[in-house]
Amino acid sequence: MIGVSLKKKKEMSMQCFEEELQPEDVYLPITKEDKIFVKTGDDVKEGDILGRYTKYDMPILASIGGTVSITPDLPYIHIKNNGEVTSFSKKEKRRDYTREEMLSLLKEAGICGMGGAGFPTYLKYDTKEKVNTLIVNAVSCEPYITSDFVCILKHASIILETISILMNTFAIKECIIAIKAKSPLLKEALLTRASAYEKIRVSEVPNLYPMGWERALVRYLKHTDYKNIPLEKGIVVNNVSTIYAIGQALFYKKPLLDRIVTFSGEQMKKPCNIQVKIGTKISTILEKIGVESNSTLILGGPMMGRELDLENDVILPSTTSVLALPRQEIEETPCMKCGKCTENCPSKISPILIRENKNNKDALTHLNPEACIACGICSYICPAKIAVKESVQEAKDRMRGRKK
Amino acid sequence: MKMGPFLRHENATDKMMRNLFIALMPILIFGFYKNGILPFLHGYATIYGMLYPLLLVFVSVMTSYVSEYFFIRILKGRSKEETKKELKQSFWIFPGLFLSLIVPYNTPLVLMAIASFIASILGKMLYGGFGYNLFNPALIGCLFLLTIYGAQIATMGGYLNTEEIRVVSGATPLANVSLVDGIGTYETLVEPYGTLASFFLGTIPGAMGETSACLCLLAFFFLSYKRVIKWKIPTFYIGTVFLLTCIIGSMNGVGLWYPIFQVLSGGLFFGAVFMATDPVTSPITSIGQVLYAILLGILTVAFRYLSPLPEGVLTSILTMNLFVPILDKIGSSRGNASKKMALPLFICCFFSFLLIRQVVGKYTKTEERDSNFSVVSEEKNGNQTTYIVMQKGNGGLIQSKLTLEDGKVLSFQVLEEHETDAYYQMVMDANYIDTLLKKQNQIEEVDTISGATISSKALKKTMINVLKEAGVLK
Repeated sequence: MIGVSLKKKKEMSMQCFEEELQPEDVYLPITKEDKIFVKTGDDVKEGDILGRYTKYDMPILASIGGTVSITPDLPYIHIKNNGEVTSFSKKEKRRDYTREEMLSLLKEAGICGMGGAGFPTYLKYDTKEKVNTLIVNAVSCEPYITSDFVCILKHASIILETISILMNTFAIKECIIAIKAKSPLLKEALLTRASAYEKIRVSEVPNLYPMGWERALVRYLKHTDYKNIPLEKGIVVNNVSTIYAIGQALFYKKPLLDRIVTFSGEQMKKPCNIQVKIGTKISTILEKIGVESNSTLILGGPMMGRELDLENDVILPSTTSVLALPRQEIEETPCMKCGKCTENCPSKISPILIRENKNNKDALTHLNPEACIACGICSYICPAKIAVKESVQEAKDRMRGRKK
Repeated sequence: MKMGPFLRHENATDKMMRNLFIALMPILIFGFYKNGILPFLHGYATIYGMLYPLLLVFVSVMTSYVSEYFFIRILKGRSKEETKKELKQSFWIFPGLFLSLIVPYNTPLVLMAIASFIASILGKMLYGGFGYNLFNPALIGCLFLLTIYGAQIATMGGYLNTEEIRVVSGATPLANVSLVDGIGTYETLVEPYGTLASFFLGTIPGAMGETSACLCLLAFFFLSYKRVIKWKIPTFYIGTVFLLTCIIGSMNGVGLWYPIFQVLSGGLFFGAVFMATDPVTSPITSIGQVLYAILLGILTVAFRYLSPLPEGVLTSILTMNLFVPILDKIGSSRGNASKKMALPLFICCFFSFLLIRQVVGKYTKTEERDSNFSVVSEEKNGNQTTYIVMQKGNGGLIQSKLTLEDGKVLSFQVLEEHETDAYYQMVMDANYIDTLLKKQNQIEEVDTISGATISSKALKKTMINVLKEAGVLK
């Protein structure tokens, strides 16, 4: 088993959950290629389709009701909140869907991967291959992040019911909900309810990073490996928050308009999980929570995330967390070739050799930087504090560039 | 935009180096106790003699410091502050410290300083400093010392401390292997120094850091637990040496004590735990490390049996340092581990096979009459008999004239030789023939001259064979 044990620091934000914040404004990111159906001055309701993203043909959804304004050259649609709230409380009784109905529902509700990558969920199921196993990823192996946990604790019943419907629709034989070991609260919340579903089981995975990586999960739970996507082996992996979003769309006809985001870290004045609207500017939320000065703000987890852009970053479906960590100066020292980056690399590549050869394309072909999943263990583990991951990513881009 | 990870493991280079230093301390203290305090308590050493081991370490370490300081301050032209910082990141203490633990005990302080200077400057700083050197710096220093001053130091007592020089009156255990025909016996190899337990504890002659396999083993566990060293290297290295000598031993009909003796002597444990695992000069990839260690084992055994370098650890590690980039290339290329390992492992097995065949063949031959020796003429003149004999040396036959009277060799004169000048000169400089004449009653126990082993051995063999011819020796 390859992975590292990190200090999880999850308890910081587990205790606190806040209901939906109604933002004054939301900013929905778009590109020039996307088709927009509205124009400046239009009034829209929560859940309206404002346009379609050209890539993957997903809908652009208004996450609040209000007035649209679009400025040419600015990469977003701005909605000014008018206080109108759409109620999505009418419970849908229907349980049987055909495959096509389900695919179109997933697509029109704007459901996409909420664990980090943001890949449209309907595409995972829109395939001729037979799906035998559904793995629900609730591992959340990065420190601090608890959004998935909170989602389970609050909505375990909906999640299980949704899984059951998905399994019926796509004739999936088994479902494994993967949670990290030693989390009794989660285990209890799921186990007591899962016993009612014979094909769903809850499985504990080692408390290691990056155990939540799709490939690691498939390796651990199904003892198999795949080339590009797990579907090759009849497996679909969905994040637990994605499942919950599907449930909202199934039972309340509510598209993906908000999500639970963890705001945590030592420098966050009040660490908590907040249900926020997609498109909310992160800086406005941070102002409300309060952040100590002299902190590093991170979008995403402390391992795979990136520095927050206070000006522009908004909440996206894939935003799991926003962290404020103590600012620390990291000084690189010479590499002594201890080999720890190679020893601990989950992709079994050799980060430091890639770094040394990053300008030598022939050498890179053999070193296979494309296999890098950007988990960041190499930089984390390096005793010389070298930013190894950045070099590997550079090499990866270089190799991809060559292929095109 | 700054990318993650924003967390860093608490392990840092300086912490690892601190642990390495801690692991060396018991070895250093033991070396001081065995080579300084004990001889002093037993009345074999003066106070200066008692402190000599520490002086060696001190001189070596200080030379490392001074040479690195001046290199950075003057040659690289750094400011005082920068020099201080660079020195801290350079871990200047290690080349000097390691070097003082592996050089012969009788190294003069001046030579110690020179070797340490070579280790730090030539072995490390000229390559670009810590992290950039190709070879293990301490071994470079030691190689320099032994190559140029080895014979000189050997005449001063070599590896023997002030007590051993009077009590043991012989070579280090492994030098004994090359002394006796055949593979050796428990009586000739182990008993002069005690039991195998003495080998394990380290009360045998040898360099200060190298004798105690026990302390090296403790350091190995400590450093592996602290994840400072690449644990695969010592494991596979010692394992390979054990396996090969086990096969060679059993093919020559000696017991299990033999591979244990081989593994516990010649500084193998110290070399495997501290030298072969030097992170900078060993492979990064796991496959590379395993191959590196296996090849080290094969080379060490080869050097011990087939070359004039009885210990072999130093030379094998320096040789394998050269192959690290290639091994890493194998280890880091695409494809699964077993496929990548197959060919190199096959090559290893092939080499091992050749090696074993060669070694076993060598000993079955020498068990009979020495075929390298022949008598040209034998002339009696009263009580005296004069032999003109030929013995195979390094560069062809050595012709010598020996005169015996009453089973005692009176004179030994070399008439013709084709040895390499430098080696032969070493033999002459050491007055080796005089030594042979003086010690002809315990001829088997006379050391060969390290650095010129073949030439000196040929002369010794001449003497032995003539004594056999005259019926003095059986």
